[in-house]
Amino acid sequence: MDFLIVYRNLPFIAEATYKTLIHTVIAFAFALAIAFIVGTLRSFNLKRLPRLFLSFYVEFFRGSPLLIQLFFIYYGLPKFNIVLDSSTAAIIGLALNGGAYMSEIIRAAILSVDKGQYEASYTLGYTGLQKTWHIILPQAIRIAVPSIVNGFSGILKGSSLISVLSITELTRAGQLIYTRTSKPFEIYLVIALLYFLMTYIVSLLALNIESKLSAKYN
Amino acid sequence: MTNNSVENIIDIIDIRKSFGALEVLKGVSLSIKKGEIISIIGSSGSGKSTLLRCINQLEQIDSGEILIHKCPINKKSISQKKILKKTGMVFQQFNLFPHYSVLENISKPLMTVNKISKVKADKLAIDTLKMVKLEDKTNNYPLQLSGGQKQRVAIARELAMGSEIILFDEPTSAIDPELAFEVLSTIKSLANTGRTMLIVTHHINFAKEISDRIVFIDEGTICEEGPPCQVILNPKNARTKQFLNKINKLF
Repeated sequence: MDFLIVYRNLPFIAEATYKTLIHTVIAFAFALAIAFIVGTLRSFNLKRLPRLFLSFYVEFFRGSPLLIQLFFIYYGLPKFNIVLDSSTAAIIGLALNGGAYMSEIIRAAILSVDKGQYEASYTLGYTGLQKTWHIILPQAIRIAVPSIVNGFSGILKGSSLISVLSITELTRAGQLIYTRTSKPFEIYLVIALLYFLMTYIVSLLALNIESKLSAKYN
Repeated sequence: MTNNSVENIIDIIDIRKSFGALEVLKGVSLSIKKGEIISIIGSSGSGKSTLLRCINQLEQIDSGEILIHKCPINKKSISQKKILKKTGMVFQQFNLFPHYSVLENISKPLMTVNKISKVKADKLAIDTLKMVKLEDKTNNYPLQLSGGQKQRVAIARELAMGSEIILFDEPTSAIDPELAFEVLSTIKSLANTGRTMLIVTHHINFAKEISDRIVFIDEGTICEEGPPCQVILNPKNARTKQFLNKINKLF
């Protein structure tokens, strides 16, 4: 055991952790926006074309590996003169992928809101948009919070794949230290713990939000 | 209260409604005058609730016509929206908004739909909560209320919205019989406020006391209608007699 290796590389690991976090947080913010828009739209009775388009997006991004999506965005899109730097490509990939998963969470949460809530807001004279914004979404969000947090963890862990776009985030930093030092046990243990710590903190945060949102129901 | 000089506020003309193969309303016609209080009675599945739900468009009718203020409501138009706004509904399951406090359940729709300022909406909400004697519950959430209290909040919500027509869809069926009384007396207290009320109910005595007219529906058609003294005490239709006999045995 030689955890001094880790200690000596602390600044490097810290910087990589920051990169992991910043990519994850930005991608999560976009994913959340996509999820709300797509999930809400998909809970409506849409016309055939937009319905097919949205369901294709969701199914495609859930049905193909994130790694391939990242490769495609970074290496494939330049064919159409869309050249992105690695960070932008990574964030787009993570956001589109996470958004597809999370939109299903939002859609399911919206559909689980009691039918009576729709009827009451309709008879009170709410327009479709007012009903969604004031009545349905606030109730759906409460239901969705735990799963949305899972979505954050998913993006955080998925961000290890952006290492293939030569972004020196946590996973790639681990690889680099390992090839320099040949101490895989120590270095990967610490990296795994760092990932765990980050997701765990977010889970605690979510628990807090959840209990606050539920307070008025109990 | 029925007066021939008062104009009809609702005209239901030969409406039909099916759910799949099941025809629930088989040609129902009914005219209701402004300020009239009508109780709709009948056994479960007879089409009472569906009739009510057709009036405020929660169900779309298959044929026939419903006019409110002489304006057909089954055509999408701006005037129709205005009319719908004046038609309120009190549901069996209350359908209060669980994420809003009691006060907000009343004030938020006023602000969102009627575009009233928060100060005015809060004041109106408190005034109507006083009418249903729940002013001490303003900051509670629906889950902290009894069924009877929830229903009174739902009634207050409709009063605040200024509904001219209030449709009550079995307002006491999901409530403890002991607490149903408080809801029924709240409804009674509205009797002389000029609002038109249609009440689907199983409380025959309540219907007899409060209504100007009682409508008995069976298997999707109106079997008998008239003032309570006639329909309840002296029914002409055999099916009405049978129904009332059964109910009288029960209570």
